[in-house]
Amino acid sequence: MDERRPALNPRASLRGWRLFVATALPVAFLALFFAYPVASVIARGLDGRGRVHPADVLGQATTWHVVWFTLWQAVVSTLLTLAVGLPAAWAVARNEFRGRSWVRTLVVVPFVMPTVVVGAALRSAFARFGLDHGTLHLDRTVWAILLAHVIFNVAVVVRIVGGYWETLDPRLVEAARTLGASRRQVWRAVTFPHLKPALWSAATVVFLFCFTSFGVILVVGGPTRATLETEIWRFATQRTDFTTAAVLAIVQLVFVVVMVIVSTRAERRTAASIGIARLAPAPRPRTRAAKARVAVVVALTLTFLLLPLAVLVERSLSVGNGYGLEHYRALMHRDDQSALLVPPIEAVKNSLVAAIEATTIAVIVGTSASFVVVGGRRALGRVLDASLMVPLGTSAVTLGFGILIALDEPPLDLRTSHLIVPIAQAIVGVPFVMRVTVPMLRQIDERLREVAATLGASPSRVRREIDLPIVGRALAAAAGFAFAVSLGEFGATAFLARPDRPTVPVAMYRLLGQPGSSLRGQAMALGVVLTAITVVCVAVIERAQRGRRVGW
Amino acid sequence: MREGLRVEDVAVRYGSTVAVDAVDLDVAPGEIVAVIGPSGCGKSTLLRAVAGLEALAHGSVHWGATDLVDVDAHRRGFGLMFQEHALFPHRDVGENVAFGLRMQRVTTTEASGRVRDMLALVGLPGFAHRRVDELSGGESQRVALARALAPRPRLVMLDEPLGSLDRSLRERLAVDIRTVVRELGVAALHVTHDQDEAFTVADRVAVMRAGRIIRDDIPEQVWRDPHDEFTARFLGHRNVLAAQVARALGLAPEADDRAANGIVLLPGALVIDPDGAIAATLLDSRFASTVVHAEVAVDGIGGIGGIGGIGGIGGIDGIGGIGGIGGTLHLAAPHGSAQARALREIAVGARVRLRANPAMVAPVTLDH
Repeated sequence: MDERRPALNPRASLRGWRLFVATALPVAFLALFFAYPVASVIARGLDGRGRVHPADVLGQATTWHVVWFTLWQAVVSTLLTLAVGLPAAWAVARNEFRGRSWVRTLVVVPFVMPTVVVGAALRSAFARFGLDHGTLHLDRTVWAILLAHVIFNVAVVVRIVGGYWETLDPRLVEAARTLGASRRQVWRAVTFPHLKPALWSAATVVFLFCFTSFGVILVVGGPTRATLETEIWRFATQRTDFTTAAVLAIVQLVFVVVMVIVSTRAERRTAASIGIARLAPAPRPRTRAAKARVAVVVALTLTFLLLPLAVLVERSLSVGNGYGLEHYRALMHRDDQSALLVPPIEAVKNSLVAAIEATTIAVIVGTSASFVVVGGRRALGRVLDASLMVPLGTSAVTLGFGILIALDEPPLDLRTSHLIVPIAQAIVGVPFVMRVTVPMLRQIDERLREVAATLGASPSRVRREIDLPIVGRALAAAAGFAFAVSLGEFGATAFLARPDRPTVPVAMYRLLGQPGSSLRGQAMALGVVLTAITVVCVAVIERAQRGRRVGW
Repeated sequence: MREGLRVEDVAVRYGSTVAVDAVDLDVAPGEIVAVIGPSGCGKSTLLRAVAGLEALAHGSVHWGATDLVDVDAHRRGFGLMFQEHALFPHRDVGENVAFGLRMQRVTTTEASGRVRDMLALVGLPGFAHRRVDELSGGESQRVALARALAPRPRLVMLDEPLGSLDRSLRERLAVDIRTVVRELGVAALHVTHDQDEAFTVADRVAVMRAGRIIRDDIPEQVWRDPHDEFTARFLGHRNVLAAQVARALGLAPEADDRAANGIVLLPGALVIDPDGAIAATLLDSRFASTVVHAEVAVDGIGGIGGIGGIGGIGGIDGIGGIGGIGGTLHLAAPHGSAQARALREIAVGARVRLRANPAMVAPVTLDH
């Protein structure tokens, strides 16, 4: 029998030059701005010119203590974050109430605040509420680290799981209830299986963040609590022992790769097409008990998340014994005492510009990669899916350091280009875009694409007319995430931002590192400005999406 | 070369599973062909292969003289309509219908006129700005039909288009589909598992079984002369008898060139007649929407004592097993007919005499 050339399924429709571009773009981006720099760091560490032999590092008990602590604090942080985030995700995704979109927005705020600031704010909150000494001592404990991680990452659970939860057809739950299922049984039989892919997705992201957490550990944990990330940084910058730093970076990378592979497998296994669900508007809670449940969850979550922010605002306004706006006025001018070369307000502009550029890059790269993952050859898609997740779990310190030493000579000398900062931030933003778009693309009913094809839409037209608009809502959320991440990114940016072009977190770090309550106050004021901008941006994105309602 | 769809010796495989095998099928412009068969027989796969959504393992699909095997789905000019309508959730009714026209770069004014006409044709005038999630099931199907037909496809394919609708709506929409498709003079391929829907809509009926088309004829011919037990039962004919049983009842199959080893009694073939040659016991009679159904155990072919085997009542199998062991026969009498009145006067368990009308008997090949 002669095998005729297969007519193409719209699903597997990426081919020819489009497949090439869609694949080449993320691959080249990843290779040039991630793999090559990281490889450079590792190569430099292992080239034998260091004072220490690589094998000795692995033989030391302290190394494995660090690995163990890094691992378990990340696991516990992730579980705690899920426990706190799921009720909030439910409240926001499954209930209509006044101020819902604001709650959705506010939840993200801690996530985008610079880790250094939240860490400092958390510690001063401990001091304020008497938790820095005595029996209920939290300051500089593991609990403080876990607490900080939960505050940061609840947003991930609310956005990823909540976004997915909204697509669960309420009739499924109603059907189960009428079949006699209790709330718990509905959760086990209907809701949980539906949410599994999103749960895996969210848990992976949270775990990777906690695994590579840097600012939080440094500030909240103090010098005695060492994770892989802080040790890489310490060895690379303070002891200039590149060998040990590189070995630790490799160990970290191995863990991350394994985790990503396990998670993408699990996510794909659990992904189930839910057909053409109609997005029924979330119901208003009817009974008094239901209203109370939503109110309590929302109130507790917001209090928990926004308390550090409140302390931050209070401190930015605190002048001497009273309150005033002096720290804010000081942002307009460069202080002679300051380590900053520009007025602090310049940092705000730099941050915004970099974030817009980083988001654009992340959306373009992430979206084209998502189409390859969903519509390309299976093996290719899997590899790409997993590889683009790796940067999320890689040390930002390693990345920033790597880009600096790898891309410093022609033909690609990016040291003087201001694009180097957004590029590094986009590397971190791409996984966010993909975690949102890939499950959404997988979920679109194949028949929609097939109908569009028989109506004369070419494969690329199907993507433009069907996939993109339906994913659009999720994509906007993903872009918001990428934007926020970029605004708050510290580890890599600290290496890459030129002294005359600091971003807000870098400027704050410099200000905080200097003595003097005036500079510290300016840092807090800068943090409040950044937080305000972030709240506005995320709110704008939220609203822009609402006008363009998608019929899910 | 004559215009129209020509499917020749087509096979579709999923791995080692053969979903469609050695299928030949023609659809002329203006002709409606229904492909019927139980679920899983490969009819939807055949349709998808014609649409260009499945790769052919073998064979060819032509339109007139044009080989379509290397033509992508979006260039074939074939419309497609699914059971679950698959309307684009992010577009309103008018935009859904206009989708194919936009793909053809039809001007906006022309397209909006066409959308208006199509919506009027399917009975939904003024629905252009409705959101698709506000539509009822029947309205959704009408919009899906309008969307499939708007770009003037050469062939429209309907995959179980009415499967998710309730019965009365299904009957009405089946007639509407026929009217609309007729009006536009387009070739149509209609896939369904419902023989009534197929008979209502189609000029020709192709019966599919396990990936092959085993019959392709006009509806009346297929109904009157199903050729084989599978088709007869699929069409709802309940009384299929082995040849020796038929002979015992005095209904010897006519000699024919198909070497049939059984017969089918078409509905109406069996009537109550005090002078009838067939002696039987009434097992059950029940009321339905248009007829009275009855089950009888026929002496001589029934099980022990002439009473039909367990499960013989109400099942599709009017007669249990080949050779007539444990068999029952099925009767249906229209309400208000003398037959229905006669049936009502007979008590369950009572004796009854029946006559078979030889004109309503067709030879069939039995399944093994």
